[in-house]
Amino acid sequence: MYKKIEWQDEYSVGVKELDEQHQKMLNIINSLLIGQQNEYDALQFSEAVSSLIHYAYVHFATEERYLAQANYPDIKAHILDHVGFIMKTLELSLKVHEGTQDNRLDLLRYLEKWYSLHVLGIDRQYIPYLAANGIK
Amino acid sequence: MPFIEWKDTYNIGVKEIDNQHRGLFDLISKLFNSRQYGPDGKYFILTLNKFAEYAQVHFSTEERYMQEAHYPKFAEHQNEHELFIAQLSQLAQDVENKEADIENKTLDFLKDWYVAHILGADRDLEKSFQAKGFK
Repeated sequence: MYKKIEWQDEYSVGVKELDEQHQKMLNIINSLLIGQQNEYDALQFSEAVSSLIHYAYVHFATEERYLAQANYPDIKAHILDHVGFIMKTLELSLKVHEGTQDNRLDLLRYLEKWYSLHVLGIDRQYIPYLAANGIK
Repeated sequence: MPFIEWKDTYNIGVKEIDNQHRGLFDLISKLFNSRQYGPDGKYFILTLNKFAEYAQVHFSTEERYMQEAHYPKFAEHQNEHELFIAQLSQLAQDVENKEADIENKTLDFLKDWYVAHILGADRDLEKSFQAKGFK
């Protein structure tokens, strides 16, 4: 089953605002993992998914602003990954309304994998560029 | 301008349709949230496209039920769906062209539509569907 991902200091990208947002996203994903185990009802679950998507809009807009400011060379690919996340999560969130456990599990599996690959993976590639531009 | 609050009384008692109505509701709520994000309105457009796609899926489902129930106002109701899809695709184009204040206009339009159509015209389906024993 799912293990909560605990925030570690080494996950920091060196920019306070982004770190706080990454932690907040992790908190929402963890609340979904715990909610799943504690049998959130359909409404509670879909409200938590909505708050995750809402927060993703906020976070992606912030991060993309920093990447543009730092003239990050891979910005296009990075933005595409954000777009992919929104599309996929919207799609999976619609399926959650159908209410089966499988639909919830598909969403959780995707979120867990995405967080590891994206936030703990490709986000690390921009660290030197933001640092070189004095962004903290 | 916030979107409306969800109430369980919005359900018409047919699970598949109610789930989709709730899905459309959630996508409109997300559009209200995404409005101010993404300097170029990217996330707004993305969410709007997803909404348009899902509206099509929903209309096909609902029309299938209407036909099965021999719903007397089928043609009228289907016209409303077609008109909405046409209006929506015009709005999506205007959003792409970044017309003035288009995001607020789109949100106003969607809110009015949801209230008039889903919470209005669709209530009339309830009796026909119940009589058929749809759940």
